[in-house]
Amino acid sequence: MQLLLRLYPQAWRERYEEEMLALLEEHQITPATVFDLLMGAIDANLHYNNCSEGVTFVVHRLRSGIVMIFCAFMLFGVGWSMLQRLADPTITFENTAKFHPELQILHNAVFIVGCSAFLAFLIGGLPLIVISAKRAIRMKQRDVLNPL
Amino acid sequence: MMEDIRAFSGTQLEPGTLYGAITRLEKQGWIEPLPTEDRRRPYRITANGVTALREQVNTLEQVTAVGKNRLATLEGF
Repeated sequence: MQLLLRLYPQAWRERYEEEMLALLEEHQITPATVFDLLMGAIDANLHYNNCSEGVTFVVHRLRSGIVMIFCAFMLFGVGWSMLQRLADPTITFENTAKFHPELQILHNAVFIVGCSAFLAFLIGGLPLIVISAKRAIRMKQRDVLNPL
Repeated sequence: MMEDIRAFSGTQLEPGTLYGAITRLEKQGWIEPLPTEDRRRPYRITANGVTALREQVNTLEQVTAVGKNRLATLEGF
């Protein structure tokens, strides 16, 4: 447990370590206790590093990052889909595909898998985007799309 | 404190969560530390803490009263 407490910032340990150790000596240590101490260490490091929001700061940044990744993937997916629908100008490929239809099949399979991935991302990420947007509007947070 | 919370709420707090709360409460000025007793440090609520707690309890009482009134109007439940 003392090793776990070393994850806490120095200022925190100077103030609370002794009493925390005394408490832990009388407490039944379980995996939940270890996980709780790890989360507490993250929160204490953020809290004592002039970040008063603590763990919620990490959650906000994570949410912003996910929103940014979702938007980037959507933009990529739209562009990629449009590119796939362009007629392949390479005559060599078309001629080869005539003799080796498996190439055309593979080409189409890539397109289908790409579209499926795009749709899956859209369906899975859309509720998150809607909720994040609502929260951002309600709490007037302008930095939802800023992961940095 | 952990035993007291478990007794009245049924919730078992882990030490990490407890000290996260103690840190915030102390920073808010709602509790203050007392002299250490055998490596354990008791805490005491401050006047500001009493004010804040009273406000929270009043809010909870209002919510409870509204909930009870609305439940009473539901027939068959």
